[in-house]
Amino acid sequence: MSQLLPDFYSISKIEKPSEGNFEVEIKLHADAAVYQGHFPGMPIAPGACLTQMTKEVANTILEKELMLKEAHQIKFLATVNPNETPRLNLSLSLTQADEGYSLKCVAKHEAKSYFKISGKLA
Amino acid sequence: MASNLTAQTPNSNKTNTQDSTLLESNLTFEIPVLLNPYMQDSTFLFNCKMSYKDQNISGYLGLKYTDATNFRFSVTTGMGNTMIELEWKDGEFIKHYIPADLDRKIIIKKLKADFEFLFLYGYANGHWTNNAEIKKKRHGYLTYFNDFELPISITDSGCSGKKKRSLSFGYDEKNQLATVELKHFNFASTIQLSILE
Repeated sequence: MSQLLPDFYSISKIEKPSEGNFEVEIKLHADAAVYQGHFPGMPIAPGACLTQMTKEVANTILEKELMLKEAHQIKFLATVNPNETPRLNLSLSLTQADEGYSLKCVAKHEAKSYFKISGKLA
Repeated sequence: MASNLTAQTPNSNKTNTQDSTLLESNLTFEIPVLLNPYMQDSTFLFNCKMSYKDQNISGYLGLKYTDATNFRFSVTTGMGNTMIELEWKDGEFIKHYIPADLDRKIIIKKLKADFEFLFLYGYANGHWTNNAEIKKKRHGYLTYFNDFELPISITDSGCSGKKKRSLSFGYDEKNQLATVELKHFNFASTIQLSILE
């Protein structure tokens, strides 16, 4: 699957604990070009990049090229600094819906939640 | 409190406390004069929450000073979109970006006044003065410092003496600026900033 920002992250591990549920370990790259501007000397992953990353991870699992057609909820609960949080665990729920898939994702590292996204891929 | 205050110009920012001379009726007093906390460094990145009544905006505020009176800042959302980008340069106020919905004279005037109060007030002489009421352009600014001689609050009163706005500062255990809050007394609007580390 193609990545819009190939230097932004890499997938370390994908597990499937139950049907439609996936646990994905993400490695964030602190040297990605986006951090040169967001922000100089203080890297913080932009929400747009985290949303794109979630969509790409879902596409990798589904082996499809789908778009995030609807976003019911996008919440950024804490700042993601790749130096302090180099790994994120995404808990994804993907269920087939009308003409696409329903997506729910919670990103955590240890006990702390970083963002939540729910929407529709089509 | 005397109105005629002479103080040193901002220079190396190496010390917090500097001496100045207060001249009044041919008498000279020594009072502590402190640097504006924003001028300890030239760039800042804050977590930013702005509210007006029940409307809330949160994101990041990046601030850069080029000198004591010139600065530029932008507010971006968590997604990364720029919401506001404004600059003060050589006495001129420059709008680099503001959404069309906010680009109204009354809103711009309020934003300009608030961000001047947040980031520019105190630049006169480059210092903040403890327990002093400074009169400036029909405003009275009352300042309070903590035990470490760092400013903890500045209250802005109009010509009638009624409180209009206040700035509150919080510091970490190393006495570095950690939080700033601007609160209006006459309408429900606040700007809360906390330094990102």
